[in-house]
Amino acid sequence: MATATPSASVEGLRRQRRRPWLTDRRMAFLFIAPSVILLLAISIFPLIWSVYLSFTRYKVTGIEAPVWVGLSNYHTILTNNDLYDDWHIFQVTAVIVFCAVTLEFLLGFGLALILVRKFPGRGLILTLMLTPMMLAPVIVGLFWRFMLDATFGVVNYMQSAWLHLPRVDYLDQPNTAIGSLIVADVWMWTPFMLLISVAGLSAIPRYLTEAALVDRASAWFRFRQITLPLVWPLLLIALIFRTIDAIKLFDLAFTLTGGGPGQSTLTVSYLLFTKAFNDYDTGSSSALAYIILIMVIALANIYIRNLNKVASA
Amino acid sequence: MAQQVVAAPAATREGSGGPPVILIAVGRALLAAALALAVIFFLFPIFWIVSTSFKDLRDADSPVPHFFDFTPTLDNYRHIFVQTQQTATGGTTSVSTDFPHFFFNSIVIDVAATLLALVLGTLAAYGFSRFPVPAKNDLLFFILSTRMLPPVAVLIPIFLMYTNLNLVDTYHGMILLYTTFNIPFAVWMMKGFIDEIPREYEDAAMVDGYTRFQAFYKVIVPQALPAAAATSVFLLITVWNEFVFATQLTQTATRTAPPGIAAAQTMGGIDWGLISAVSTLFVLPVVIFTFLVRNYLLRGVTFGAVRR
Amino acid sequence: MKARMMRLAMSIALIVALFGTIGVPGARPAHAAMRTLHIAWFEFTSADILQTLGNQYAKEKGVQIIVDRPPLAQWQSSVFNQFAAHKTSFAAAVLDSQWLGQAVTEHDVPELTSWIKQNLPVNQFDPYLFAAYSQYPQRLPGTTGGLDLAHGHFYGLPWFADAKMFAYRKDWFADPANQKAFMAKYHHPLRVPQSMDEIVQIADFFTQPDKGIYGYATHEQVGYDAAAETFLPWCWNYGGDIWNPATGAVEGYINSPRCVHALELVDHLTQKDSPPGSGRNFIAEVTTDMNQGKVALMESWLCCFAGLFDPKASTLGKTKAEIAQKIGFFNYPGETYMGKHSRYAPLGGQGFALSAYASKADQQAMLDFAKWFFTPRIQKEWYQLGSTPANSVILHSKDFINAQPWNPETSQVFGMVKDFWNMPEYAPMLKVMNDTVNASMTGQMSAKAALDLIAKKQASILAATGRYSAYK
Repeated sequence: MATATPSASVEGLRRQRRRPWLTDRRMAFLFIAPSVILLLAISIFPLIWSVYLSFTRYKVTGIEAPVWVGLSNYHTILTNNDLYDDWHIFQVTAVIVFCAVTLEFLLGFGLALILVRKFPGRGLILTLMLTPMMLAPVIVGLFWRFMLDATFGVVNYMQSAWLHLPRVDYLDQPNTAIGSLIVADVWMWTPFMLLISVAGLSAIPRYLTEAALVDRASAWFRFRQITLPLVWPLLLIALIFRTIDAIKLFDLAFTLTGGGPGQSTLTVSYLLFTKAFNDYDTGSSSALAYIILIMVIALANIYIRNLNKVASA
Repeated sequence: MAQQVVAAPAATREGSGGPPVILIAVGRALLAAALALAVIFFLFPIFWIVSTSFKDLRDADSPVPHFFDFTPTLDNYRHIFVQTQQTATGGTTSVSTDFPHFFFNSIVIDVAATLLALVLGTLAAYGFSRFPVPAKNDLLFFILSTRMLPPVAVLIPIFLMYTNLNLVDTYHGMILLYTTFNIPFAVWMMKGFIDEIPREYEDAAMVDGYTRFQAFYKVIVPQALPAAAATSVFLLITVWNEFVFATQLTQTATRTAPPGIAAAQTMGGIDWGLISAVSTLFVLPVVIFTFLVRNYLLRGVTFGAVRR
Repeated sequence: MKARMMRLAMSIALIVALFGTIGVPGARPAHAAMRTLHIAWFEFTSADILQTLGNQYAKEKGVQIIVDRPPLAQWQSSVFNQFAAHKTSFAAAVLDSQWLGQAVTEHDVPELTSWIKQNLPVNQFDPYLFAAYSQYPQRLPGTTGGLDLAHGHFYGLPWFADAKMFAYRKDWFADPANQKAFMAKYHHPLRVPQSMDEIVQIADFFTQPDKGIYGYATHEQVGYDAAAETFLPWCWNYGGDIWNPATGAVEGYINSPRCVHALELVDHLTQKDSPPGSGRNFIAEVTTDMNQGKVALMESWLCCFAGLFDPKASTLGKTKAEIAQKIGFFNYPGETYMGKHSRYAPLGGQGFALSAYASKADQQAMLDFAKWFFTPRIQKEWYQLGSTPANSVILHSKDFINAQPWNPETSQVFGMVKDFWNMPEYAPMLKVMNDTVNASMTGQMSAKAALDLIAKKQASILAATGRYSAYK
């Protein structure tokens, strides 16, 4: 590779003229195409097929061909005429997603504000704090189940023996079971928000904060006018991904509550799994998948519009 | 009174006439307490998993938890590699387990998928960031939307597609799949960082005679390394722990660790010791990788340098 | 220096990636030139034992049998996903008895009736037991006589027999203080219960929450059939039935007064007499309850009773013999309720079926393996290693009875087993029943409300199939 010395610039210009085929347009195409093609092949093609299936009554294990039923699957789900209490499931999912993501954001960002200052042991603490999100969700679910058990769990032991609070059967009552899911999810993913926040906060140019200090700006002013606007775009991207992933919550619920007690902690993803791989009701599960997709797209749109507004400001 | 006035600049922070020392100290103590509580909340379960890996089943299942008062055993770690089975004649033999094989598969498939997604994603991110792409925002949204659908929704079509193309239980099949999962996040994250790298750097390089591609390679890539490190941590974690597709699309040859670990829940009893040991061992590579790139994680990107 | 290290790391990673895309030769210890066949099952002791036998078959006959063992929760989908793709990596699968209807009507398993006639000592098997793992349409309850090989259709081989039984703390029962107190309260001795009502009394008697001791541990989990298979035997023992197989009617059956009464008793046991947190119980959890000395009675599948005798897991003794002094077993005692006497244990276990998508050669090789498996020598190894054969002659043999502490009861139980339906739509039917029963067990709805809801939902599932006369 040529080094950028003044005597080489003529050489470089000549080189440019000798390689005209790698134009900007071609480069853009070559850079972007592989990703898009891969996505089309593996993500989109199956998606299209399952759109078709969502308008049919079909069992993928069965021997009968799909039977066109139009919007019937969608109608059944949206009017709550299903075998499952779909409205309740959507509600539960919304509660879990909202509470979990909000808590993750507040906790993650709050901790980042503390951890962005340098103090002895900070690197170690930060690395350790990232470990929860490195565990597989199935394992996290299993262990929280283990820890929250009313008879054998360490959490109940600590609250009864050390804090003298009564034992709570966390996993056998709907409200506490939902709470347990939220706690486990917050435990797992706050580190994600923490890491992104720290990365974003670390990237704020020092000269901006220094300038504000010289101008005798208060801590709150510095935070609101400098820190927040600069770190907000990154936070928003993190929030988008975290919200989408929270809606897809399945592995954790699968091992922590199994959807129970009863069906009170069934999330939309879990319901999707049940319809697809327990009932093998391929038509209905495809319809449910698209209902979820449309909701997520609507939600993501709101986030992204906000992101574009902030970015262009 | 006079003493306070004299002492004020020294006793407040940054000489701005802010709050007195006592409040700062209380504030700091509260922050320290909050941090300590957070650390306990996040690290206690980790401690619990690791300590359980050294307990035998009787201690692990005890309703009175043993925090430190138990006889530690390395049996669980041994059982990751070798287990005893009864023979028909009433004796026992040692049988090597499949866990090392699962771990190996996880490493091969996940590292390959992460790298591939990082490379493809960074290229695409650069393309979106620097070039006028037709329907750019729509394309970007399309890329994001592939991540929005719960994977379960496309599992059956993908499974059938893979079966017909003989991709089930193959390394390349799994790598392609995981790469596809990771591309959206890689594109969005890297684009976010690359957007912040001022174009002036590349313009300067091209004025000096570099081609566009060389500018990308010599200027952008080094600057984007910290972002790439951070992104790769997330990409790796995503596929490292992936469960649903791994269970359905692998069988014996390419089975990765998460389904293998879940299978350790036998019916006779959940061997908490074994599961803790396997989980601890399985999370180590990710922890080590994160630790290796930790400086990049914290450094962030020095955008705004040119404006200086 | 750091840059060089990074570059080294990158190159290593790229090499790994390259290997990955090409494929890694020798990563898996190849079962070299030997022909290899797969059987699909799930991860648990008996499947591990089958693998041991498979390795032995490789040594004896030169064909390597590999048992695929995904986690229980993935067993059903891993089998049916491949059936759906019309391409299976296994030549045979061990299927749960309720899957038969779906597998048969979807043409996933070939018929084996003539092979059975020629190769198995059919008279040595209890006909109901055999039929449960094999016959579709299901053998009607109350059918007498042997296996109807002339007119019935059989698709499975009775591979592994299982049923539920009770384990109990015989040392607590033997304690004179307990004997005295129990007699004073209930006016009959504390003994192996002679009726289901007596089980409830015993559970109540031993429950002392302040001491952390409870009377009862049973399966309640929302996963698969845990809660359902707890409700079913109680319903059957009180004379109830969950449907009418001839018409497909469920209303008036599963929510009949008998079944409601049974579920009310179960709810009482799970809410009052079980350790807190029992709502997530399955085999592992109730075994732990027993091992940690928390309960007097445990109701569970006998396949996994070996977990009670592991000195590393149990607080009841340092050796198997010590533990055996404290744990005893008994079968469902039956009950006389509203003028009818019934005695049933729920049927578990699985049957072996061929994959219709395997080659004819592979199918034949699998049948050869099955024939080898059913020889008396191998059946003996099957139970000596810890599994349970379905052959009645073996089940009543002295060797079998002496093989495990619970085998005396095992040899009796298969005369009283009962299974539930196995029609093609069993999966949503089971999920409705299981989850709603769990809701009742954990106190979210009354037994009557739960069973009424199940009846309503199951009726809608069956009506949608258009095959049942009750809904026409």
